[in-house]
Amino acid sequence: MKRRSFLKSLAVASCGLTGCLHSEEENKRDVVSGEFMQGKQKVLDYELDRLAESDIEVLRKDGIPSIDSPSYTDSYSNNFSDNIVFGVNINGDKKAFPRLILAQHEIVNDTIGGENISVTYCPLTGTAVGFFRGDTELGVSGHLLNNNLVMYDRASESFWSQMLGVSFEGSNRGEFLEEFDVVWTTWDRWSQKHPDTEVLSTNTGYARNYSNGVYGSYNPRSSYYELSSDTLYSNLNSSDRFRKKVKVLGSRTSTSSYCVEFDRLRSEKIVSNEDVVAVYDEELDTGYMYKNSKDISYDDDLVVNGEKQPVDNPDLERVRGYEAMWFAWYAMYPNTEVI
Amino acid sequence: MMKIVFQNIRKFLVIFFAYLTLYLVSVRDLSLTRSKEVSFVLVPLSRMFSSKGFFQFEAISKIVIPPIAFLFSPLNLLIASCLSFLVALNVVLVYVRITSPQSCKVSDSVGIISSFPALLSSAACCGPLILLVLGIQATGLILSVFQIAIPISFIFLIISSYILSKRIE
Repeated sequence: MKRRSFLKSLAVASCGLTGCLHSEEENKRDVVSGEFMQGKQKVLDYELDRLAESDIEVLRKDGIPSIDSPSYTDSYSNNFSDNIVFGVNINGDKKAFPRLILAQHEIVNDTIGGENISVTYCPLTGTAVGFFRGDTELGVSGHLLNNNLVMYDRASESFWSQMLGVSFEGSNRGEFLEEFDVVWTTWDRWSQKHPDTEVLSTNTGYARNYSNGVYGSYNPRSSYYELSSDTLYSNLNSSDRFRKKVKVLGSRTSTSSYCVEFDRLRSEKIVSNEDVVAVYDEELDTGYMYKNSKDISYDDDLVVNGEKQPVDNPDLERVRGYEAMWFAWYAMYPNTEVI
Repeated sequence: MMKIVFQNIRKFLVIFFAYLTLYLVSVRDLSLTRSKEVSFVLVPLSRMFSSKGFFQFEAISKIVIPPIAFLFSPLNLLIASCLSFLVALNVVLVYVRITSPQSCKVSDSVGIISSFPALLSSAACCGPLILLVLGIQATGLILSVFQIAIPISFIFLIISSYILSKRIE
């Protein structure tokens, strides 16, 4: 009897070790259901089948836990080794998400400005992208595609590429997510522009040390973030045009993709081709792309048809995108036009 | 076997705690923090069974005594302690073997070689980063190796400690 009890205890312990005991949190997620918000179609340089064949499993699903019940504070912690934040402003509701918290969680599901959203960050590709998630929640699948985060939605368990914004596997295959702006900036810049902003608290519900980066630092650049350092996993395509980890600002329409080297944009303030114009926002140290449809120039501010307009909200059609590492942008969009 | 350990208890404890520290640092349960204040955070106990990766589990509390932050994960600590015990045991047994009057050079290597998987296991969490330092890109096969590093380590270390202890007797 004693032996049977011991073996039974061992079996239960082993079950715990293999993670087959569900936490309350995991059971709660099982009941999330609903539709995502369909987004505009964006150009794809690969067939969906190719993407599905190319993703690799690195961790188990939710091995990197998303933050699904975020809390916010007015004061920014001084314990981070860098002050990079991802700024979000939806319907006047402003929130800042410290990079070092998102580096360990990659996805925050929340309702901001009355909208159900997900703020997502992939540390390996340096991409921060926001999605309107509808009634579902997004989670970290544990898979990577071109070193980039592959998300899954908890309603259908479909796989979504963060950078492409498309589902390449599952019942939502071929659908796109609707995106919103996530500004890669610093706390000082964001809080100066938006004094009423709140910032994601380190009380995430997880016992983690958020002081330092997992893969290295941005300031100064070290380890994985050194400009010429290699990627952890292979990519579908590569180019030597820029060093691998150089920051580019990329954007895409339904037919084309464009990018500009960010340092060049920072120094020249405005860079354009016949299709798009990229403009630099000095206040937030970020950039935006618009359709090149009017007479556009830069004179301490954006000038459109002779009239000065705010650089982040001019009378121009926006071509949505985000900042990324060059290797990642080219791997996802090998047909990209560098402006 | 335990008699040999007690006779070399100081060496055993030094290696035990050194390996334990190395393991906890490699899985980031022990790290530096920029915080200047002593603090204690407790999260739901159910987190204990949430897996972070290959044989790695979430912590249930964070204890900060600047500049050190310790994430208390009972399961990580259990795995680390068991591995550290086996590594220390192997090293002590090899030491006794080497310094015994009738040492056999061929069998001494068993204990030393068996410690290598144990060292690999402590890097299992950060395997891809280790590979980056070495200039090797991770593939599915390499990732699979890191996944089984810990159980392989246990097996090798148990076998080697058994063989070594028998030879010493």
